[in-house]
Parts: sequence; structure tokens; C-alpha cells
Amino acid sequence: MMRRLLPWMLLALATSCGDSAAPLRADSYEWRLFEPTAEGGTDTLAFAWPGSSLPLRIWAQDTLGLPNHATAAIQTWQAQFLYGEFRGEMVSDSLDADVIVVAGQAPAKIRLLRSMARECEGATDVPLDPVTLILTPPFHVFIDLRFAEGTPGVETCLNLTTAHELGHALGIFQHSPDPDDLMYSDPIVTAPSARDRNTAERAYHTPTTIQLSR
Amino acid sequence: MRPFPIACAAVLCVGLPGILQAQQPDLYLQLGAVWAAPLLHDDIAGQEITTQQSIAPLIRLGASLPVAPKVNVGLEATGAWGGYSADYAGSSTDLGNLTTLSFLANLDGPIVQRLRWRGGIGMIWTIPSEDAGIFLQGSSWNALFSAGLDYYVPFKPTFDFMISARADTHTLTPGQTTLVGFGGTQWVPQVSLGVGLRFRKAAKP
Repeated sequence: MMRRLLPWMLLALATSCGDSAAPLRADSYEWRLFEPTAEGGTDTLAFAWPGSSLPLRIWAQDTLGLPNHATAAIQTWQAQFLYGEFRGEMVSDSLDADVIVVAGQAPAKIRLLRSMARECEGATDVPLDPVTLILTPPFHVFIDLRFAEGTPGVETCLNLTTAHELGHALGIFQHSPDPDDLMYSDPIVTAPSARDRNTAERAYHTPTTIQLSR
Repeated sequence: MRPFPIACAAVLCVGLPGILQAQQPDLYLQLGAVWAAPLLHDDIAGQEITTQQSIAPLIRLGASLPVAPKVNVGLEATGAWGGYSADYAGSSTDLGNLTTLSFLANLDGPIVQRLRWRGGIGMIWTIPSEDAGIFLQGSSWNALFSAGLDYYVPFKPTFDFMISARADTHTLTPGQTTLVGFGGTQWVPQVSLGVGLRFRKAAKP
């Protein structure tokens, strides 16, 4: 009996050495900032929240349903990662927050990433010192309506715009050139695409060049 | 959940009481530990990522009865509880806990006195503490193959001490890994050691 079973056992052990093939994730877009240097070159600015600073603490103003939209945005981005690279949580005190989400128009600033969906718009202020390249949270996210609250499409717009802006706060500092991506400059889709996911994963497995100060 | 694993689990659950009611079944209970090879290897932007289970305590319950002069057939259920983590860039990220429940249909027979071989096939159910990451779509059922050795030390007329060493391997294909583009089947070898008691209804002559 043992002799009959032995070949099958060996076959099982031989096949047990196989690994599944990891995806290439080549389909992604540029997420880093490129800053001209005094020497005439280009500095690549890459940022991802280090594991030691997670969960990311997010506070949202209690208007326009922003706390619900921010909670959904956290879940949306957490679901894009396979290995716990990003985790977020809502906090009740804005003083404790790494990201502050408020309603209203963004102030005029140089380093501001803006998005214009159909029914609402958003902007994220990246708190980066252009000289020292030190990032000092909190990020400020501004969500503003282009139509009255209750207008068809506004809720969906608030949801996708909050998720889009949180994507910037995660370290995706550029817009996707593809309208099928959540990080497109005028986002239409309600969820991250495979390209958004690939980009986020690459951002969190690439060396960062921006220092975090908390 | 898929119908095939449910059917397998049902057959095992229904079959175990049948064996227990049969004449002269051997019953055994073991405690031990299991080590598993990495659950997944990945490479993102040139950075290698390994998802690894911790060494996990296990409890094993089984029953077997003779079907031929030198062959027993049996059913076995094992539960193991441990953590798992993702290791990359020189650090480890805790991903929570994993519970595995495995069900095996076994054959076993003598090699030399007190030492027996064992081989089996079955299913393993991998249950994460949180539906996230590679287990975003929840638990998964996979095929399990097992081979091992059992060593018995007589203790009382109807009790033996039992030491078991097992080398198992199972497939692992969580839905989320397929969704993000992993190809092929991940095989996860595991090794376990268990000690316990075997109860024989029929005392050794």
C-alpha cells in the first residue's frame, strides 16, 4: 500500500513548490511631482505615508454629508491595497487630523491639486515646504458644490470627489490622463480603476523623497 | 461559498459520526503547532513582498477504523489559529489573524512496530479575522494533500501516546488575488507536529 501511495505523495510534494505569478502592474500613470531645480535639473518628489504613521487620521466637517463621504473614501482606498499599506480612520477632533475635509472654495494657492467633476469640485492643499521639502500635515481638502444640494448627481459627485481628493492626500500628486480613472482631473467614475490601484500600489512601494514632519 | 467544498465538508461531518458508531474505531486528539510557507509572493515596482503566516497552535481530532489487514481509513479535522503579516522593505505589517479549518480523509498503515504512515486528501478553509487585503473577498476553500508519520507509545490497555509529524500542501487562491491579476495557483506547503492520545475501543491482546 505504501509503495502505491508513495508516487502520489511525491507528486503532491513536487507540485507544492509552485508560486502563483504576480501581476506586472505596468498599466499605471505618473503620480510624482517634478520640480525644476536651481541647477536646471528636475527633482522628483514622491510621498507615501509610512507604516508608522498609520492609520491616517481624517476629520470631516459635519456638512454636505462629508463625514460619510470621507468614511466611504477611506474604505475605497483601503480596498485597493493588498498588504495593509494604507489604513485610515475618522477622528472627532480636527486638531488630531492628518487630513481635514471642509466644505467650501479652496483659497488661491500655488500648490493646490484641483478637480472639477460635473456637479461639484474639489481641491487638496499639499502642505509641502518648497524649500526644505518637508511635508507637515494636515492636508486640507476642500469640497464645494456647483449646484444646489439635493440636485440629482450631487451626492454621487461629493462621494467620488472626496475619494479623488483623498487619493491626493495619500500621495498621488498628479492627475491621470484617462477619464476612466478616479484620479482623472475631472473625475466621472465612482470607483478606482485597475490603473488607479496599480498607481497607488506603486506609490507605496517606491522610495519616497519627501520627509514627513508631525 | 462554492458548492464542492460545502459538499466535502458535509460528507466529512456526516461521515465522522458514522465512523464513531462503527465497531472498534480508533479515536485520537492532538495538540501541536503548524508552520506554513509563505501564502503569497509579490513584486511591486521591484520591491519584494512576502505574506507569511506565523507558527500557529493546532488542535486535531480524528477517527479511523480498519478496512484491510494493514490499512485503516479515517477522517480528521484540524483547527489552527495564528497571525499573518506582510514583509517588505525590511519591515513587517500585521494583517490580523488567520484561522484554518481542515478536513481530511486518510489512509494509514504500519511501517514498523509503533510507527505508521498516513496519507490523506481533503479541504482547508482559510478564514481571515478581517475581510481585507488579499482576503478582501472573504474566506477561501482550497484543496489539501497530506502525508505523515505517526508514532505510538502504549500507555494503558486502551490508550496510546501519539506523536505525529505531517507534511501537507494546499492551494491558495483568494478571490482578490485573482481579481488584481495574479496568475496560476499558489501552493502552500506546511509542516506540523502534534502530540496527543489515541483511544482504542479494543484493548491490545
